[in-house]
Amino acid sequence: MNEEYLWDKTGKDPEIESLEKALSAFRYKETEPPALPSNVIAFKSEKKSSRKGFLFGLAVAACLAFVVVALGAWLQVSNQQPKGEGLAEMELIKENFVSEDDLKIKEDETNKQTPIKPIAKIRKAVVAPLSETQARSNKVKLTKEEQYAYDQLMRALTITSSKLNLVKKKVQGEEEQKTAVKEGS
Amino acid sequence: MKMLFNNSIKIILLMMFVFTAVSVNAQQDPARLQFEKLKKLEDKAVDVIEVNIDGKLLDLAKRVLLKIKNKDAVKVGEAIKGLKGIYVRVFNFEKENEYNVADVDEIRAQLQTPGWEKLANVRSKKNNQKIDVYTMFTGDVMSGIAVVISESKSIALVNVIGPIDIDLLVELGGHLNIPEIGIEKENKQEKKEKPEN
Repeated sequence: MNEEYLWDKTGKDPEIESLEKALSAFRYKETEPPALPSNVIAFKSEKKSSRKGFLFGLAVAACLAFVVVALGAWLQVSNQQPKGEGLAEMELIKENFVSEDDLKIKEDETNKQTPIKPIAKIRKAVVAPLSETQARSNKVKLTKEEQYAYDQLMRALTITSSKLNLVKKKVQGEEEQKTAVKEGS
Repeated sequence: MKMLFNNSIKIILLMMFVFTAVSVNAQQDPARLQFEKLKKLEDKAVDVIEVNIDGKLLDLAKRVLLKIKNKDAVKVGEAIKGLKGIYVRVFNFEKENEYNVADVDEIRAQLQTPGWEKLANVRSKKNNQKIDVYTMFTGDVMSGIAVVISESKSIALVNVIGPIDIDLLVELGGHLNIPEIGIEKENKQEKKEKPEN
């Protein structure tokens, strides 16, 4: 083996030369750099990632908005439907404003057997004791929530009914006065 | 993965839309009066009654009425079948003119908006009493009642949302152990006043 030939290609080495010939097909040839395929465009991939980011951002914003709206609604509902405090407050009203001295409920004939708690101060004595009397007599078992809901409804209906009665009475009174004046004149 | 992500976004957006639509619709009931400005009266009043019953609470109360196998309960249940809510505010003051009349007038101004129809109004110099009853109809169906009563020492506001039989509601006083408070109060006051005269 001629080392000179291997080192700087001086002299001759038929063995190496035959190998070189055999492998010449794989020899490096400097050519034009390969062109990129036309459909591979750099900015397209960039757009894809930005779109992905936008969607992710949108999803996060939607989730946050949903949480905020849900929280707001929950707060609103919880404010409108006080449970523990409302019950306690109602019990307080019942205890504090029911006295013997004030007005008594007209006993319903059907409920004479069940004593009805006297209603005290008019403005506060609006909790209809049906749940304690009629409901008991009918053996209706109510949960705390049901009891609260029922009492609230009765309270609202009582006030509404009493105010409408007041209006009715006033209007009737005025009409009677007018007719009396007409008859007098 | 991408599909799952896109679908989740669609579901969230749809849920948001439905939720927002429902909450906006619930808040924009035309028969609902805004009582918020009267909050400041709570500090001045000696007695305050605030009752709000609507939504799930009202549904629960309606279910309770169905549980009670009683003639009167059935009657009440029928009367409030289509009811959407009742909002009550009562303020009682120790002294006369302790509240600003403009605050109540602001509530009365809400009843001047289209849709509300005057059913009755009474003006009495005695106790400076002013009573207004308004109703709102959607087609032939009643969608709201508003009662505003102001006296020198008290304010009472009642706002009923949804169809309700007024006559039956008036009749309810005295039924189901509901005392006819207004009338009893008036009678008692009259009795008290007579000996003085």
